[in-house]
Amino acid sequence: MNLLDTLEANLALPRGPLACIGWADLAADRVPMPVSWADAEADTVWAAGILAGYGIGRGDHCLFVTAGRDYWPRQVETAVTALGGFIGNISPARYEDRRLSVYLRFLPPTLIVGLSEELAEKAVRNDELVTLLKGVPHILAVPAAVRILAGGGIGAKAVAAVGPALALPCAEGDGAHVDGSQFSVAQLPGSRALSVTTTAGREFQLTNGQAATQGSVLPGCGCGRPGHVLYLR
Amino acid sequence: MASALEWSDSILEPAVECMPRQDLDAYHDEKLAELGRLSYGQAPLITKLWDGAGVRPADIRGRADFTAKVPFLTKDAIRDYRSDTGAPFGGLERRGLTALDGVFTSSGTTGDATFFAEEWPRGWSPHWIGATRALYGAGIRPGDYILAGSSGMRGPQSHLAQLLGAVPVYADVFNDGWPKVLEIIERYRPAFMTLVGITAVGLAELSRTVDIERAFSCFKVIGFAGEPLGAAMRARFASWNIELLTWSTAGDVALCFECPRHNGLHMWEDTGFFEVLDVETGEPVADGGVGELISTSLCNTIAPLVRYRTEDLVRVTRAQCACGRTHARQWPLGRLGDLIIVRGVSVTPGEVWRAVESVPETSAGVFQIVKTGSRMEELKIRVGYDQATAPDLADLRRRLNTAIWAELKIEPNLELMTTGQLLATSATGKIKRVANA
Repeated sequence: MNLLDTLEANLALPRGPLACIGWADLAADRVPMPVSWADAEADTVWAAGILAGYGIGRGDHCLFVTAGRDYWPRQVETAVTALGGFIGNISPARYEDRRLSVYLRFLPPTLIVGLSEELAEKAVRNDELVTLLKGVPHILAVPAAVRILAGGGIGAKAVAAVGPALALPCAEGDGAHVDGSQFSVAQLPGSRALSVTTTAGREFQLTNGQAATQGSVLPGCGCGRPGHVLYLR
Repeated sequence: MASALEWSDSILEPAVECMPRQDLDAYHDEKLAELGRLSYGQAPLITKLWDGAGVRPADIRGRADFTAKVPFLTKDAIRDYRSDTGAPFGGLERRGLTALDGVFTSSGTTGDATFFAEEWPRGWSPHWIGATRALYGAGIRPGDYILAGSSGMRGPQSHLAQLLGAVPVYADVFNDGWPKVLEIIERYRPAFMTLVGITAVGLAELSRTVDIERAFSCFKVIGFAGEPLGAAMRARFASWNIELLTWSTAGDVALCFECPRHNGLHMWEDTGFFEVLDVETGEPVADGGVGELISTSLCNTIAPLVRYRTEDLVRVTRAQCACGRTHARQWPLGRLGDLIIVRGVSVTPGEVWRAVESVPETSAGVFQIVKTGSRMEELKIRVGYDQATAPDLADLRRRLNTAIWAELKIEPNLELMTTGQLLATSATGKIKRVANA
C-alpha cells in the first residue's frame, strides 16, 4: 500500500540490462551512448566528490536546468541526492523565467546547474532576476550563458558535456574537470577542438572522437584532482 | 500494434489494485485519522485552517468526520500563505528541508507555480513509482526500451523505465524533433513513449511522408498527457494501429493512467482520498456524476494536500473496472476556469473541440478560445488549419461556423491561422485552450 509496496514489487523485477541510453554530441553527429549501471555508479560517485567541494549536503537545494535529452544532468542530480541535498528542475527555455523566479524567491538554491543561454538572455533583462541570481552562491552555466551572465554582473562557471564525458567545474578553480578514471581528453593541435577517449571498462567505447563542444586543456587545477581540466569559454 | 490487453497478463500488485471496496474504506478511515494527527500542529496552514473551523485531530476518526468537518484548501490559500510568510510549501510543510529529495512545480499557468515536495524512498521518486502499476498492466516488461526524458519539471522520468526493469532512451520530441526521434524509434524499437498535443499534431503532419503504422509497430502502447484527447485525434491514432493511454494526475496527488480497457483513468486510492463535489452546491455527487475533484494525499511525507480543491472538472466512478481493479476511475473533463458563458449559453473547450475537429482542414483540433471574462457577448476562437490542404479560407470559415453553430447554437468570431502559427504561440508544448484576451 501507499507506494512503498509498489516499490518493493518494482525492485523484485529483473533489473534493466543498462541504466540508460544517453547521447554523445560529437562534432560529426549526436550518437547513442549506452550507460551501464557500473558507469552510472562511477559517474555519480565522481560528481558527488566535486559537489562536496561546494559544501552540498543535507537540506541544500540544487536547481537543474535541463532539456531531458541529456544524460549528464541525471548524473549530477543523483550526486546531489546522494550527498543529502535535494533537486529542483526547470527546462532551458526562455519562458522558464517565471518558474526560475519562483524557485529563487521561495526556495533559494545553493547551486544552479546547467543554466542555459536562452534563459540567461531573458534573466539579465530582468532586474529582479539579476538581483536574485547574484544571491545564488554557485552557478554552473553552459559556456555561452557564462558570458551573458557576466554581462549582467552575475558570476558563473562553465559546465558542459564534452562528447560522452561531463566537464564539471570544482569549487576551487575556473576550469572544468573530466573524470580521469573514465575519460581522457586531448586538444587538437592549433585549434580548440577536443577529442575524447573512453577507458576500457566503459559501456560506450570511443577513441579520439572529436566532441561538439570546444575548449582547451589546462595544465591542471589547484584542487589537485586527477583527470583532465578544461577551459570551456 | 497489438492491443495492450494482450500484454496485461498480470497485475503488478493484485492485492492492492484489486482490494475490496470495504478494505479501501477501512484503509481510508485509518489514514485520514492519522493524517490529521501528523499535519495539525506541524503544517502551519493546515493548523490555521483547522483552528478557524474549530477542528482538532481527535475529531477525525474516519471518512465521515473528515468530509463533514475538515475545511477545504485552495491553491490561492497556499500561494497567499507562501507570500505572507516565505514558507516555500505554503504552510503545508510538516518537516524541514533536510527531509527532501526533490521539489518540483505546478505549471504556473494561473499564477506563481506552487511546489510539490518529495521524499524518495530508497532513492526512487514516488511520482514515477505511482505510474509503474499502469505501465506494467499495459505490458511494459523488463528489457523493454522506453523513450523518456532523463529528468524534467516533475523529476527523473528515467525512474519510470528503470523501476520496471526497462531501459530509458533519452529523447525529447519537443526539442529533438520528429525526424531525429523516428531514427531513435527505428534503432531501439521502444515499447512506450508519451506524446502531448503539439507532438501529436506534428506526427499527424509527418504521416504524409512517413508510414506511421510501420514506424510505430514496436510500441505496446503510447501515452498521451497534458490535455484531453479529441475524438478525431484518437481515431487518427487508431487508424495507425496505435493504442493510446491517456494519463494525467489525480488531483496533484499521484499520476493516473487510462486502463487498457479504455474505460477511465485509474486513481490509486491507496495514494490519495478523492471526493467529487457538485460545482454549484458543494455536495457530493452520486457515483458516476460530474463535479470538482477534491484530493487528499496519503503518500506525501513532506507536505501533503489535505482536502485540496483541484479546480479539475471530472467524472468519477468507484464501480469495479472490467480489468478487475477496484480503485476509482476518473474521466478528466477540463478546468473549472475553462467554463465560460456566451450570451447566457455555457461553453466548454470540449464542445468547441468536437466542432473544430469535425472539419477536415482543422481536424487536428488546434484551437484556442479567447476569453474576455467569465460571461461574454461574443465567442472568439482562434482555429489552426492544415496549411498543406491549401483551403479556400472563406469556405473553411463558413463550414467551421456551421459546425460550431450545430454544436453550440452560437455564431463565433473566428480567427483563422495555420496550425503552425497557433502552435508557435505556445512556449510550453501545451495548447492553451482558453487564453485571456
